[in-house]
Amino acid sequence: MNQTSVLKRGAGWVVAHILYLLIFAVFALLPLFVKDAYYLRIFIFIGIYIVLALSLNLINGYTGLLSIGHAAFYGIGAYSSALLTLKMGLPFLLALPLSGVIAAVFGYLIGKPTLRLTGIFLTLSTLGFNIIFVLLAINWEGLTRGPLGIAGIPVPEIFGYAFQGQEDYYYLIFFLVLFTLGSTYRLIHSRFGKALLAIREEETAAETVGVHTVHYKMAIFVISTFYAGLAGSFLAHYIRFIAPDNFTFWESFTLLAMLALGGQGNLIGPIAGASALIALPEIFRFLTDHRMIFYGLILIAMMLFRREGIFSRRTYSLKITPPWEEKETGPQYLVGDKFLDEDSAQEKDDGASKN
Amino acid sequence: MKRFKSVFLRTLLFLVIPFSFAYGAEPIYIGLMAPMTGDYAEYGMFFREGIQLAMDEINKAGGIKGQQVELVVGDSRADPKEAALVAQKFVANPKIVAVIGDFTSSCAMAAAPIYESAKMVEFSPSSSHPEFTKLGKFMFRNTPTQEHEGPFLARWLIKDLGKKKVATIYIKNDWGLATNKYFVETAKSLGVDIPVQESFLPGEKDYTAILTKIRRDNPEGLFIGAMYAETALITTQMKKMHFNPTMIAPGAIYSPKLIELAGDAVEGILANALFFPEFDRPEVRKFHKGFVEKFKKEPNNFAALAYDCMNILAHSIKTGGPDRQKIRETIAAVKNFPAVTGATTFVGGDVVKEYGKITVKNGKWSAYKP
Amino acid sequence: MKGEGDFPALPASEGKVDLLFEQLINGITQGSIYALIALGFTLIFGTLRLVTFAHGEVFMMGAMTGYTVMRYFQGSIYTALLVAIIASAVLGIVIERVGFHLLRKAPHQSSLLITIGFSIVLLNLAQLIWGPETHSIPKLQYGDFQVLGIYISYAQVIVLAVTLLLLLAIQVLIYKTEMGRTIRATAQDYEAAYAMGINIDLVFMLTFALGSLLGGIAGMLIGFYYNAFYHTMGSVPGLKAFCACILGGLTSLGGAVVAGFILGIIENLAVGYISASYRDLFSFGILILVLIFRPRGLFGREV
Repeated sequence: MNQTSVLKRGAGWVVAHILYLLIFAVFALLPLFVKDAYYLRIFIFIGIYIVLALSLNLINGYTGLLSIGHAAFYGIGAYSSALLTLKMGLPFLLALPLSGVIAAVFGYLIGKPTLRLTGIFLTLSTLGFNIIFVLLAINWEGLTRGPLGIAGIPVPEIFGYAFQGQEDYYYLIFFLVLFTLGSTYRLIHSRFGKALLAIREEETAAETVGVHTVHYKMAIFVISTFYAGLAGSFLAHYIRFIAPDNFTFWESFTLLAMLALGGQGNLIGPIAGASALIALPEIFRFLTDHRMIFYGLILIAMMLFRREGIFSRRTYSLKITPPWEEKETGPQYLVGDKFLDEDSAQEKDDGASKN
Repeated sequence: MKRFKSVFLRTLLFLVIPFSFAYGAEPIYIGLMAPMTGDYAEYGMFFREGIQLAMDEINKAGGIKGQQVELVVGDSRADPKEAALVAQKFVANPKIVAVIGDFTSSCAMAAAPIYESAKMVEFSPSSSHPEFTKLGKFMFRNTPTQEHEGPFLARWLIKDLGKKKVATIYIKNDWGLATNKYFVETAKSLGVDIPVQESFLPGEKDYTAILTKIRRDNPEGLFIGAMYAETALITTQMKKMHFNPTMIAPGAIYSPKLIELAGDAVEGILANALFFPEFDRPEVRKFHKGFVEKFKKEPNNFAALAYDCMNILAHSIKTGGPDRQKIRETIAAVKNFPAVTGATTFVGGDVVKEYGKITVKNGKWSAYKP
Repeated sequence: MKGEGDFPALPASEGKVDLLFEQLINGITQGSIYALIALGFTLIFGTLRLVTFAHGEVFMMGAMTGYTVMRYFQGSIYTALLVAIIASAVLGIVIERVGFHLLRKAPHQSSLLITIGFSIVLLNLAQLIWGPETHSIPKLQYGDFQVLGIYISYAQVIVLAVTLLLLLAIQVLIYKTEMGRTIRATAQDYEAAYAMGINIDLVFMLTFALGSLLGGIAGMLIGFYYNAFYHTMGSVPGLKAFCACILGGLTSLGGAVVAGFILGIIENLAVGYISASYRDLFSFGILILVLIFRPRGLFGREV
């Protein structure tokens, strides 16, 4: 019987999560030993794409749909934030979440008629909406200034402090990444998350068990587009100039390549994919000029050789089991539609717990 | 005699080289921020060639006070995000003292805040969006803004040539919108309303529908706000439709490729030009000759503008030294610099230059003679 | 200096009919291209039940190779056409082998993503090879003639004629030949076809090649009609192929053709009466509307 004191349990938690804490510390303190604005900038872009990849992962990875027009919501978030701050004078602290909400509203409006479609029909409609978004952004000059784009987007101001250098933006995106990661994690490990996995694995079976699939698809779509909107808002206030060109379906395809490379259906895949595809073209000079071809080849190669991505479906965990903990804290496995849960005392896999 | 000469030269070289090291042969680095890949890569290439030509001439003459100049190229791909990244790289490199670029206004403007806060000159050969130079004290451009180009063309077509019925067709991007706007505004001030203004998206290649619409109005003159590729298509399709108004377009169309693509469909088209080989001034001749010799092809407006940028920068560095802040001050003070693209004086970050007039006559670009 | 407008001004009412007629002609010409490219696409989809995102780039490659033959190897237009056909068919086979054959056992999404990958790679490869500029064949001229006061160029006639010829040829091939029957059988039920001893592997490959070469021919036609060859010339037509295919009914060959013409005409009327920038909005708007309200399109089977 476990008679661990609070202290011991606290220490146990720290030891179990020591690797996570270390990683967190490294990235939290990054701006202290990386001073070069150029490198910080790269990390910031990695952060943006991590948020985007994680959000798309909710739709493509966890729910098993194929959305190929995600950049539209990224764009909606960006334009919303730009217009809210420029035209309506809202403070950034308000514009950021509002942009997420506006993107989510559009996610709802677009999801309503299309999420009841299946397969290729759904996919094509997501593409169609991406294209239409860009066309509207170009043509609705009264609202978006068309191809001129929106320039001079204000610098974020949080509680009177106006952003000055790369470090400020870095911490903001760091926070957004943590937020996305944390809330996604909670979502996935809830009953809601399990319903999603049921939809992914065997939709008709899920229906019979009483899961209203369209309802869940709508919910995840709206949640996912919220994150994309947040990322868009950040982008708008970071590079302070946005144009329709930034949000075409080629940008959506870039996200697809990230998920294809890193893997989807878990939390580390999108992070790995986003980091790799942003960092590699900066590290290797010959890739810098041929970024898009590189992404295309990645898509082809991954589909041929490892279509689940590098980090495939199983969830990963960096938790360590301290010696005095007896509870099994292994990863969760997906076996058909059975869910192995650390909380439930159901079947244990053949003894092995790490991956 | 020959042998003596070569021995003499080689000995001289032997003696000179260690001294040139002593001169701090550390070269002066200038950055080029332009689209080297992507849709506008050919313009980035012309920039690069113009700058390279200028640098070669400067270096052959001994460099700037003994220091050679060298070019560092950053590819902005005509993407503002990329431009900002390139700007970041450049300002972080203490060896780079100034930057020439970008080609598009949106890139130049996206990068401007970075150069401004790093106090480094961003000298664009071609950015014509009025707001660019307002973004900071370190922003300079070598071309008049569209506030001057559009009106110049409007006055030419309406005042000089007396066309009373005019229509416009223009590309729907930041450049096209601006160039059309200023043309139309001036036309209005000259008493000519332009009811038919048709825009098209980049990538459009079928203009027959638009042209049919325009032709219904039967205009005498047509302002084409597009680059040479689209203009070639537009004019060819106009010819197919037997639609022959007087055509006038911004100098961006000045390229041998326009004639190559459109043939006699562009016969008679009018354009403004800052650079044209027939404008007979010594610096123009020198540039033209040097360019053709080095690159085996005709230069265009953009190559000339970049060439001038480099020379103006060299002049500044010579006057005030290779210091970022100093360069800014000396450029701002430039008056009547004998540039290939016209005598150049800076007013703030903008230039005052006179346009010339060119046209396509008998299948070739020529200076316009009324 | 050219003379002032040769074309005399018409009274307002005639002007309106004039515009309509002209736009219809434009619409039919463009519609032919859409029909061709949609046909190739639908042929592939109908048989393999898989969407290829790379179709637009095959279209583009056909055009670019044809252009290269004519411009740099002094080939005649017939040689260029032949090369374009071979190039696009080969490209189609490569995509089929890599993207579908090797992924037979994989979920459809993987093949879709691979074709997206091919699309990106081909597009950028074309830019590396031919550069970003628009290329043209110098001195390419077409004559024209007048009908009811409207000028129709011979080029428009050629495009329409070639399209109709090809449509007829495909019609004969699919419905009147042994090979066609085999394709249809495979399209209807590939497992049954396999059980009956049909080499469905070969059928898939052939169908892809056939669909691709139709795309390549369409590319050549468009390229020569506008005398404009550039690496992004296939992106939008490729997407329009989806629109036409969905509008016509995913598996209906005839439907795709009709839909292609419909799209071409609607687009040009929109441009003529509203604005050029709205061209694409109409086609993609139609795509969305069809997907939402009638996914089986005009002539498709119940989905």
